[in-house]
This record gives sequence, structure tokens and C-alpha cells, in this order.
Amino acid sequence: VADVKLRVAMIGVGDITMLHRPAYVGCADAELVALCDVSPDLLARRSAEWGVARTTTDHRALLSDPGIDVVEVNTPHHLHRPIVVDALAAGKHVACQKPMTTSVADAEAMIDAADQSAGRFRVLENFVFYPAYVRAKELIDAGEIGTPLSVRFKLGTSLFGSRWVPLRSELWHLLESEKGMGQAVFDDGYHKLSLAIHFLGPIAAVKGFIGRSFRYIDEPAQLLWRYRASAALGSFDIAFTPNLHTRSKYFPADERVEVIGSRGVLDLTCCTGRITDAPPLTLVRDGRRIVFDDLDTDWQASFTAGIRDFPRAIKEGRDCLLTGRRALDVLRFAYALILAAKTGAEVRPDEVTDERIARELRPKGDR
Amino acid sequence: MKARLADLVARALVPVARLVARLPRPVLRMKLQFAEALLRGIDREHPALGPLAEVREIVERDPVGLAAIRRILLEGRRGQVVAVLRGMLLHRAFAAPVVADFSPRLAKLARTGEPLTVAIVGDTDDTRLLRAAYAGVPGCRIAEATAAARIIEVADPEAAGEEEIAETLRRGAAVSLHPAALPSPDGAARLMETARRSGAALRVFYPVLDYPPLAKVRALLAADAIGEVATVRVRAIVGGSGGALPPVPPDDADPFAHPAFDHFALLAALGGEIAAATAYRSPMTGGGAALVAVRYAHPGRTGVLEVVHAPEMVIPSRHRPYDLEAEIAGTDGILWLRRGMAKRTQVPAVEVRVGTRWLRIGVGSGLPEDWEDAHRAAASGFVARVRGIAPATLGDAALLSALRARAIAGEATDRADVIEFPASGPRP
Repeated sequence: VADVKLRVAMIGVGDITMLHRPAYVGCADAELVALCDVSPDLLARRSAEWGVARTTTDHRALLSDPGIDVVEVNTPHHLHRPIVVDALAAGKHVACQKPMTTSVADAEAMIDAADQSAGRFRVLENFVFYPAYVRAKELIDAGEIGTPLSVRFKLGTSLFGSRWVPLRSELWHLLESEKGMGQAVFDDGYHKLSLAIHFLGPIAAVKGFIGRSFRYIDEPAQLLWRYRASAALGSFDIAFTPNLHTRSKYFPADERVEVIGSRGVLDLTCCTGRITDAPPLTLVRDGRRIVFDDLDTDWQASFTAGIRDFPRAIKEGRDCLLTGRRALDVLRFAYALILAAKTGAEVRPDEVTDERIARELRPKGDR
Repeated sequence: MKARLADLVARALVPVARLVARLPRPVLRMKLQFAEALLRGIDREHPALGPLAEVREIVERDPVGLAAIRRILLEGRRGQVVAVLRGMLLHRAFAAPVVADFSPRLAKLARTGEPLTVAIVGDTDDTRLLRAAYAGVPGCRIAEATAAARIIEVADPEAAGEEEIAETLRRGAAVSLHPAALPSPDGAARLMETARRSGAALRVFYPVLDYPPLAKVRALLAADAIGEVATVRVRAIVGGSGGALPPVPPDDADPFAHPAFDHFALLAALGGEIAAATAYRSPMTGGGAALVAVRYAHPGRTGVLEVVHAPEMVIPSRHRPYDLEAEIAGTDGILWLRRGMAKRTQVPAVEVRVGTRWLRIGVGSGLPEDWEDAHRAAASGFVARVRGIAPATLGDAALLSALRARAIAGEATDRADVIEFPASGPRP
């Protein structure tokens, strides 16, 4: 069984899947065998580019096919629930693209479906597999910076430095901010919030401010939190830096992380993009600066490692790093931050409910 | 010159863009097709052709995308739209260099004028450095008695109450109040009013406000080097060793009273008046942290003060092992300020990333960056101010908002809600 490759079908082959597909090239544990999308044109293009002959516009045809072991759900996030639940009911292993969904009820339904299914379920968030962050986590866990006291995430978004994603793909995200699901905190922010939990554990409570740029962009922001099991505090500092040229093959986003411990400091500079030539990871400790230059800084590396971890976990019979429950924690964390900024009050992620989200964040016509 | 031109063009473009955004879809499509043809006629490989074609396709096929573009242009804050357009023109079309005039002008100005007597009340790290700094200002004499002094540095909270300081101001003497000797924010406001009425100079002494790298950063901000400021972050660490002097651990009851953590004035110097705050803290004993997020009076601007007590950390310093770093992000770029009294790393004291440029203002710049330089600038700057030839390093409104933020920071860590306080500037 260890030598048999799991057969993967992609449901939804939009822009993000251009980063998923390279992970299957030369993968020992899985192969991409089928593609599904509502757009026949896009489907034909991907089929030709990737050499995947089997295509369909009806995802149910894939779920009933015993020749498919794993489905990747890469549709817009509000469409995840029915596909994920159906796929798990059909006994498939399911890898769903982040954000998991837009409501707590949807997330819980997917987790319930996973609990009752023979298939495994994970929500892909690639940052926790980015080589510099993987090394940082190892250093934190090894006590290299002493007791963690503070972690800071910085995001700056730019208009210049990459044209990988077409403008049309960005625009619909902007209008989502009216429903409490802005690009910076809810969507892209998911990565940082996932990493915040990955580094130091579950979140106890949050506070903060979210401003507005060009009315619809949820930047700048200053978001704070305290951890449940650690004395460390966290912050997410989002700037609006449209004219700062940010070198990237993907999105022009400046992402930096700083973790301060009782003994040392970790500085992480690269990920999706980079704004200086500083090394990807630096450890400052005992009056010395230790630079880690032996790390793959290409963002693709995080997708490749993250996607390949799922079939490997299935074969090894272990839970993958990013379970449905972890994804629900991140979803609640994101909504807690948005609610805290909206209401001017502290919010505990475990008290976030769909009713509260609807009441506080959704326009009346959308509830 | 380029900056002024970029500003003029950006201001002129905003109403044009808003007019275009209101055009009916077919007319908009025709205009974009015409613009594409025009550009193609100039240069078949023109870099604007791709984005223009993308926008045209959105106009033709994507009503949601078109609605988003329209709403951004029509409903976005005008000042911000102008700032972004200005930055685009300046850093991409005109490729303007990043410049800001800055020279130790005050030191020269302070040399002129009549002799002054300075009295220093209290014995702290700062007063020791100030004593040496004033002694180096031509025409300044240090006196022990305060009665005849023209300038009085008050660092001892027991030495003078609010009424005595007010009386000193009323007799025309200049007072430099150190944070430990400060009354409440309301008391500080009353003293500011007394100083204004009596024509005497009053300052609240934060050495970092006179630190030459900060002066450089503020000169860059004043020259719009990074466009409209969006966020300010100030981060301070009290280490455990590495200094010529030992660290003083922060007090659990009020960590923001620690001189290495009281950086609300720096937040205000970089972002303007503070309007609201919310905060968290963990116990400082044995290592801990506190975070204060602020919302500025300037629309859409936020900031954060992060303070960390890291008792096992080595921070090389010729003074105490207290590290300081600030990061200011604007629509066109980011500025970093580092050091203060320590040198945690050898990374330059000032860095600027703007547009496509990365400037590191370090040893080669000749910029003074020792902690003594802050005190020298503070002494000569205050003398120049008393002589009427230099302004205050921080305006009263911004300073008062910083003192209010400082006063409520501890309470904010215990409260679940945001604390707002009165500001004189515009509100979001």
C-alpha cells in the first residue's frame, strides 16, 4: 500500500490551484487524475496545461467514482460545505482550501461529517509548512529564545511587484469586507492567524482596531490577543502600503514575523513576498546574530510541503497538522478580531456564534 | 519640485477619475478602448497596456468588479486617494529620490544669545547626561539653586508640586518636567496653559524625542518620504544584561512607568494625536509583555506600543540594556528607527524602503546615534527654544494625548472595552 499513489481529484481549478498542481509532480504518495470546475473553458485550459485528461463540470461524478481517493475542494469558501460534506459521506479523503467557510455552523457540519466518515479531512493553510516558519517553530519549541513572551505579525499589501493574480480576482474580495470578511484580516489574515495558533497555541481573547482604506480595504489594523495556555501576547499589525514595491512571484505582500522570548528574538522576513534582502530567518541571542541562509524562500515550497503532507498522513494513518477543528479555531479567531474591532470590546473566540456574526457584521439584507 | 508636481497632478486627477467612474458602462468601455489605442500608438509594449486591458475586460464582463472599482474611487477618502496617486507618480513615474533636509541646526542656534543659568533637580541617568550636555552648550552655566535659574530640569517628584511649577512658569523660567515628576494629564494641561499665558517654555522631557535618528525620521516624514502614514509601531525591550549599568526591572503594578517603556510620546511624535487605546499585559516579574493598540485622531491611522521584559536577554549597551525600535508604514513605504541607549544589533539606526528604493542610514551618513547625542540635542534644543529660536519638539495637543494614553494604559489592560479620550484634531 505504501507504494500505491492516492488518486486525487481537484474540485475548483481557479488561480490558487496553479500553486497546488506542482506539488503532485514527482509526488511519491499521490497523483492528480481528475479536474472539475463550473467553467468548461478554464477546465479545458488546465487539462491541456497539466496533462490531466479526465475533466467534469459535475463534482458528484467524482464523488461516486471508486477510482478517486482524495478530493481537493478549491471553490470559493462559501461553497465549501456541501461539497466537503458530500465527499466525506462518500468516504473520500478531503483537503479543503482555506478559509474553511464563512460560518461556524458550516464548519461544525464539516467537522461532524469528518467524524462520521472513513475519510480524513484537512483544511490547507500553507504558511505552517513554509520552511522558515517550520524552522522557527523548531527553535521556539527547543527553547532557543527562552520563554516566548510576544509574537508579532506584520502585513503590508502593495499594488506593485507582482502581477500573478489578475485584478478581477482581488476585487470581489474587497466587497466581502462589507460582510465582515475583508481581504486582510479574514482571507489573507487566515495565514497569520493560523501561524499564531501553530506557534503558541489556542487564543483566549482579542481586542483591536481595524481601519478602512479606500473604504473597502480592511487596512490599517492593530489587533491584539492573549493566549490561553501561554503568558505570551500576540499582535497583528496591518499597514496599507500600495506604492511600496514588494518583490514576489505571487502576491506583492510584505509579511514579517517577530517572536520575542525571555532570552532571544526571532525575525522572519520572507514568505509570499519580500521588501528587503534581509535573511529569511535570524535568531538574535546572547549578543549574537545567527542567520539562517539555508532555507528555501520560494512561497511555492510551502504549498508543495503542505499538499504532500496530506497523502503522507493518510498513508501513515495519522492526523495531518491542519484538522477541521484547527480550521474552526482559526475561523473563530478571525471573526473575534473583526467583532472586537467593530464593537470596541474584547471578544473570546470560543464565544463567537453565527448569530453574533450576523447581528454585528452582516448588512441587514444579507442576514 | 518633482514632489510638488506629483501633488498637483494627483489633486487634478482625482476629480477626473471620479468623473470617469460615473460614466455609463458603454461609454467607459469606449474611453478605455481609445486609451489603449492611443498608448499602443506611442509604444506597442507600453507597460500600462496590460493593466488597462484588464480594467477594460472587467468593464465588459464583470459587473461586480466594476462596482468595486467605482465604489473605491467614489467613496474612498479623498486625502488618501490623492496620497496614493501622488506616491505612484513620485516613485514610479518620476522616480524621485528620497530626501529630507536635516542638520544639527539647533546646536548652532543655541550658541547665540545671552548667558543662561540651568538648575537640575533630581539625580537620574537622564539628569547626569543632561548636566554634561548643558555644560557643553556655550553660554550655559549649571547652578544648584533654582530661584535664579532660567531653565529648571525637574526629575525629582518630591521636589516640586504642580502649584510650585506653575509659579516657576509664571515668573518666566522655563521648566523641563521629567516623566517621574509629571502631574496628572489634567495637571499637565493646566501647566501648558500657564506656560502659554506667561510666555515661558514648558516641556515634558523624553530623551528619545531629541534623539538624532528620530529627528532624521521625523524630517523624512515631514517631507512625505513614505506618503500618508498608516501605522506606527514602537517596540521596547528591557533586557537582563549586556549594559554598562544593570537593568531596572519594570514594576508589575505599572509597567508603563518604566522609562524604557513610557514611549507614548514617541507614538504621538510619529503618528500625531492619539484618540483611543486598548491593551493587554502579562505579569512582568520574571519576564512578560504588554501591548497597547492606539487609534490616532488622523482618519484610518493606527499604532501599537509593544513592551517586553526579557530578563535573560543580552542587549549590548553603554548605558542600560534597553532596546528600542520603531516602524512607521505609509502609503509609499516604511521607515525604521532603532537603538536608543543600546545597540541590540549592528543593523543601521535608520532604514527607509520607499517605492523601489532601500536606503540604510548608518555609519556612513555621519548621523549621531549615541544616547548622549539625544541629551546634547535636548539641552541645546531647549536652550534654543528658551531663546525663542526653536519650536517645541512635540506640540501640546499631541503631547497631551500621549500623556492621556499613558495614564489610561494600565487601566486599558484590565478593561474589556476601548478607552477613548478627547482629542483636538479631526476624528475618523
